[in-house]
Amino acid sequence: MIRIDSIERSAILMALIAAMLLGGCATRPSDPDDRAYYLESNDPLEPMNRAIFQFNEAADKVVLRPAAIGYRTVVPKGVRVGIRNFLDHLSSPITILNALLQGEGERARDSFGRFLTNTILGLGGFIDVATDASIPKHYEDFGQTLAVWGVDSGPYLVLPLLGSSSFRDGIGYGVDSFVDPVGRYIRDEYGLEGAGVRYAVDAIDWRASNLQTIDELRQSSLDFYATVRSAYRQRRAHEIRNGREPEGESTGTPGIIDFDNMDMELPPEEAPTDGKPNAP
Amino acid sequence: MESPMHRKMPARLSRRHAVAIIGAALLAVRLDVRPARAGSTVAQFVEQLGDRAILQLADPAISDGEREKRFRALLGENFDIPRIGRFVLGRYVRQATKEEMAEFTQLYEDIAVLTYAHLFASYAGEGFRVKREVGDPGDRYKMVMTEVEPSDGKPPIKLDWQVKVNGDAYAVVDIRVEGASMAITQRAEYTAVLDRNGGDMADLLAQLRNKIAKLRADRNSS
Repeated sequence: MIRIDSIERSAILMALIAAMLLGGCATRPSDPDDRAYYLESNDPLEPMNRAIFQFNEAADKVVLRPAAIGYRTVVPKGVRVGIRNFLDHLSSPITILNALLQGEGERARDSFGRFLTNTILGLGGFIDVATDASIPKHYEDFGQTLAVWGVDSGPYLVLPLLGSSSFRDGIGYGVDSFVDPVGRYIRDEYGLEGAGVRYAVDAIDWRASNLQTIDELRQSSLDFYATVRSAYRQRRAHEIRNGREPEGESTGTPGIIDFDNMDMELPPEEAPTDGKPNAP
Repeated sequence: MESPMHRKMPARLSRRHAVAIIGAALLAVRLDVRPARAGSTVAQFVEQLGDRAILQLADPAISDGEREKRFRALLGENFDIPRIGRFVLGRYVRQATKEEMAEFTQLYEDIAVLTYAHLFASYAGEGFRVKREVGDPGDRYKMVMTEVEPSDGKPPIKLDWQVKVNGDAYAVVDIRVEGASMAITQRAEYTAVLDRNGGDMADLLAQLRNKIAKLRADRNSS
C-alpha cells in the first residue's frame, strides 16, 4: 500500500528542486586558489544557505536550546538514556536496509542482531543490551548509500530546521523518510503528529547531549556558518568511509594533511580520483 | 501498515544466531585493540601528552588562571603552533606580513587556551588509550589513533593525532575528532572571514582580538 503523504510529497519536491538547481550551478572560478576554495567549500548557494542558517540559529536559540535545557533539567538521566536508546532502536531498520545496499554485510548483521537483542531483551528497545554484549552500533542512511554507489555530494545545502546537508544527502533523507518502515508505521498509527513528536524528541535529545559542544563552538568561532559547513562535510566523509581511513599502502600514510604545502587540499571524499572534474 | 520487515525479522533470527553474532562481535573487538608497536615513540609521545594533560589540567584544586597557564605551556611544548597558524590561513598566508603572522599566531594560541583549557575542569575520568600508530620510517608526519572512553558507557570517541616528526622531536599539528580535522575546520573559518572582508588581514586580527576579549569576559563572569 502506497500513500502519498506530505513527507513523501516534500521528498519528491526536494528532488525536483535539486535537479533544477544542479542544472543551473554557478561557474567555477578560473584562479587556482579561488577554484580550490570553491571546490572545498562546494557552496554555490552560500547566500541562500546563510539565510537559512541564520533562521535555524534563531530557532535554536528561541526553541531548541531552551527545550534541550529544560529536557535535561526535568527528565532524569536514566530516562533520557532510555529515550535515546529507543530512538536509535527505531532507526535500526533503515540502517540495516542501507548497510545491505552498501554491501556492508557485517554492519547489517550487527544492526540486525542489535535490533533483535534490544527488542527481546531490552524491553522493546529502551535498554541497550546489545552494546553491553559488545555488538557495535552503526548508523547508515541513504545519503551514505548513494555516496558508496559513487554519487557526488553535490553542493552544500542548509535545510530549514534540519540543518547541514547536501543535494545528495537531502535526497537521501527524503528517500529514507519515504522507505523507513518505522516511519510508515508511526504515520499510519499516529498520523503526522506522531512523526512530528518522534522528530522533535530526537532533535531535543540530540541538542541536550551536545549542549556544551555546540555552545562552545558557536562562542569561539568567527564564522560559525563556515565552521559548521566544514565540520559537517568532514564528518559526512568519515561516516561514508565508515571510519576507515582512505587506505593506500603505496601512497604513504593514510589521511595525512600536508602542512608544508600551502596549496588547498581537498577533503578526502571530494578529491577527484579520476583526474577529470565534473563538467560545470 | 505493517511492513514485511516488521513481521519477518524476529522470526528469522534465533537466539543461537544472536549468540553467534555476539561472539563474532566480541572477537572483532578484541582483534581491533592492538597495542602500539614496540619502539613506536610517536605513539608514546601522544600517550604521555594525554596522560600529562589529564594529570596537570584535570586537577579540580587549581584555579582557572593556573589551568590556562599550564594548558598554554603544554601547547607551546608539544604543538607546532606557528606551523598550524600558517596552515589555517590557507592561501592568505602568502599575503600576510611577518608582523601580522606573528600577531596571528599569538592570537590563535590565546583562542585555543580560552576555548579548551577550562574543558579539563569537568574531566570525569574518561579513559584515554592509544590504539595504533600509522606511518613509515622517515615520514615527515605520522598519525596516532587514540580513543577516549566516556565514563558514562557511551561509545568511545576517536581522536587521531597528526604529529610532525623532526628527528627525535615531535610536535602535534592536528587533532581529528571522529574524522573532523581541527586544522581544516579552522582554515575554513579563517579563510571564510578573509573571503568576506576582501582578504583584509588587519580586520581578521581585530576580529580575533574582539573575540578573545569577549571570551575572557565570559570566562571571568561565569
